[in-house]
Amino acid sequence: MNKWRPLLERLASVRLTLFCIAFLMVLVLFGTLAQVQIGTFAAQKMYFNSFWIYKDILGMDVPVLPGGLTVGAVWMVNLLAAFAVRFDYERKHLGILLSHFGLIVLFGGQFLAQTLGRESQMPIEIGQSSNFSESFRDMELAVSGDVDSDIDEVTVIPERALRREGRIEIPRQPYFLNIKKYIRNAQVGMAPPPADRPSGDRPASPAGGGVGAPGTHSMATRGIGLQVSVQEADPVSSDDEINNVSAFVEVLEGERSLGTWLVSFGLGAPQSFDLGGKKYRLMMRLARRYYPFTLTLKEFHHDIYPGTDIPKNFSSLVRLTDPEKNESRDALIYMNNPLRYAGHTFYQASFGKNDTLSVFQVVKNPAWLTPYISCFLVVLGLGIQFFGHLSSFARRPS
Amino acid sequence: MKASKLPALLLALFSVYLLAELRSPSYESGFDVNGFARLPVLNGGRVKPLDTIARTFLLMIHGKQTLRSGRKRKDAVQWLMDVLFDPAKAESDPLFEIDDPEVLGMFGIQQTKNRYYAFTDLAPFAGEIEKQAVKADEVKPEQRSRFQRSVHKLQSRLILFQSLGDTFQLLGGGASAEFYAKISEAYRAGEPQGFNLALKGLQQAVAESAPQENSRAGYERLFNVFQPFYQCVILYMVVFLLTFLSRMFWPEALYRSAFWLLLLAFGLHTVGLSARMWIQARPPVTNLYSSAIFVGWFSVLMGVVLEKITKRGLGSIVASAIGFITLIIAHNLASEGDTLEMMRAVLDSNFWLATHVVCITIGYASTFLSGFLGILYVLRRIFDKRWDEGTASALEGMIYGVVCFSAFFSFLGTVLGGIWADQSWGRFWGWDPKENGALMIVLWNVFILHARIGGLASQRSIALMAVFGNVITAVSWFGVNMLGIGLHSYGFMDQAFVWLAIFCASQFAVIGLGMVPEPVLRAWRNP
Repeated sequence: MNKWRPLLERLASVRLTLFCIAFLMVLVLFGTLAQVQIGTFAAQKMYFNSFWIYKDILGMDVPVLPGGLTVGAVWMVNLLAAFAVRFDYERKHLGILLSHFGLIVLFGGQFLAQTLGRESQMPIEIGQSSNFSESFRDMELAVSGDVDSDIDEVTVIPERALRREGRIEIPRQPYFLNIKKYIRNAQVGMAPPPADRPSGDRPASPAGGGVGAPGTHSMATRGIGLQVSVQEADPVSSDDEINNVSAFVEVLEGERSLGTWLVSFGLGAPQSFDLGGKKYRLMMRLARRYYPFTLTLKEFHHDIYPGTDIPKNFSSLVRLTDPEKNESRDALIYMNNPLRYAGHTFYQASFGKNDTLSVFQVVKNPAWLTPYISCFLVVLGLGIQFFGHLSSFARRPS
Repeated sequence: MKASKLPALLLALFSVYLLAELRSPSYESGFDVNGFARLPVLNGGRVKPLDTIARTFLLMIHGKQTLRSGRKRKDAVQWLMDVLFDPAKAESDPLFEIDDPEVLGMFGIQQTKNRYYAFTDLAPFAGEIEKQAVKADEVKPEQRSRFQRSVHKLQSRLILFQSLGDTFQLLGGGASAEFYAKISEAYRAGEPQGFNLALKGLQQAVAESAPQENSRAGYERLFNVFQPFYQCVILYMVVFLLTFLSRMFWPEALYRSAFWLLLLAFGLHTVGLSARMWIQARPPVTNLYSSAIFVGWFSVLMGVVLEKITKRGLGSIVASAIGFITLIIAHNLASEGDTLEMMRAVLDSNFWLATHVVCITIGYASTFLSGFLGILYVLRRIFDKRWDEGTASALEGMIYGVVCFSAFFSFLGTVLGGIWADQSWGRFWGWDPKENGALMIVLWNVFILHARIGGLASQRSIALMAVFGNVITAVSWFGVNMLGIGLHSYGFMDQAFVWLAIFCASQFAVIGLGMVPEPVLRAWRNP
């Protein structure tokens, strides 16, 4: 212990605290200004949910500043060290101890929330049910094949696997995939009728497909990809835009190619191929997360103030069915009143289709209770500390 | 006159003045304008008197609450009567302000001293204005050119003017509609008796169907006529001057006069704030306008308490300065529409408005108070010949106490905001601009506290840091809205940006002044 004490005392210094506060203020300033350019989500990821902030210098990503997680970690060390060597465990310092312990809870909780928390959305139309939620921006390639008339078997390839390109082995399936090209954001448009393009039945040559108009290239030999032009666009990051993730995917059975398809988020409808007497469908879609329970939207209400179109309230009446836990009940989700179930929280987030569609935000945050605890501790601690001071200040003769 | 009677005399004088201001204005025309002004109607989701509609629309269209052309003067409600019942008259009022020479150039008009144009002047160009406004509308608000902004503003004002008659509904059903038609007819025909008779009928019909709303609308009209915050502005100015002068003449009498008037102004401020809360049935802060009213109110409250404790005139001068400035800010924010607007969906929660929003606003108020005490520290150190160690440490002690207070409330408010966000959007903290602004205030207050507790900052640096707190609070309060992004933004305000920049520059100037080293200062005092 004695050996460590000088180091701990340094780590516990007020100077380090001031440094952390000042640095966080700088981060907050730049992180806020950056949101104008790159949107809240991207700025949050770059400045606060990162250990280092990278800048593009001469084509290389160079870490220029420590990010929010690093500053938070240093501050946390500073706090813990202060508890180890600086604070006096006496009754008159109770306020200091409580409030600083509350901060540890807050930082720890926020760290967990930022690293483990998941957000997605679940759109349901009135009368429909859903047992999955969709990511806001991450995509996945889904290949589904029917096992029998009621059950589909779906194989899902996440976007980060597509990004690597190349062959993807799929266990227990008769085919494997070759990602020929991954495009983060593609502009897909109608192409002029191809004259010199290989016909849909012919397997693609190893060098890839034909080339259309200047600036466009399509490697597709099957499906809708034959009729469209594909152009790479700059990826978008602002909060109301979404990347049109696309890929040229070759399906192979052993060494035999069944053709190359263009799959793109913007295409909407799935494309299909036949193999071994079974029909398979290919589709690029928002990454899904399935749940062991189902929500059914029974009613949706969009209340306005009389004589205006100012919204007063949005509410959804849902039926929650969970066969595993033998739950089947109605729940009302409305403004400031989410449904919390099985570690997930469902919020009324949006609506559409003439008020027949309700969109829920689905959040999984294992640390959601920490702010409540921390708020209580810090406020109690500061209250004891300051109002003690204040009353002695008020009693002081002027 | 004996100086010791001055405080009582001034207090009596201002009280009489305020009572006189409570009277309804008198009109010569014979039409019962006051009765018409009190009439409750439904607009923007709430029942309000026609007087409020007249004032908000005139303010939004004309930029002022009264209309002057030449020597003639029209109150908002008189103007509304013309618009509703005698459009030809209203259309020739010089209503629309155009000060952009390019917009005038579009009409082939040279810019003159006259900045106001009537609807009839602009009607021939309506098509062109609309075309240009549609083009401007396609550009994001913050990227519009001066011309695009002006023409867009003009078009929206023209639309407001033309749609005014359809924006409200009468209470009281079919009977009301009949009386209303008679009122209109009588007004156009210039028959006060017929007008007053029909109005009486309408008032009865409304009072029977909605008695509570009817009496509430009457009080709102009284509130509008009295303009309590405008009276407060005058009083705060007087308090500031008296406290300042008390350093030179009749110290005792002027000091006490100032403090008594400060109490009167604070009482009035409280009445205005409570009246708004009662009319709206909401906690005090519901939008940017009311946040300015509340920041002023709370700063003055703390200033009064400080004055009570320290009796040095420091609390009075800072309280009156902040009260004055925040009410001027509020006055300028009022031109965006009804300041008692309805709360949209997520905001429709009295619990969170009463806790999170109030705590955050108390945080703003107290951070400003410590900042203004810091300004006082800097200015008195340089300009006050009687500046001594005692005054310095008294001021610094006050600053420290107020910083503790604001650290507490801004932290509580920020965390409560996170909890509200967790309840409504599903995340405690999203690094949204408004959240970041609140966080900056917390961090800065905590920075000052640790710097002082750690013994790392001198008295003067604490005062200067408190002044910098003004910059952070002002940016967090208004600058964030100017970013125009995030879930919290209220809309882009370009004029406010200039004022914010001026304010921040002035604060940096004060900090610069405060950094003048002691020897230089001594040399300057005793050349």
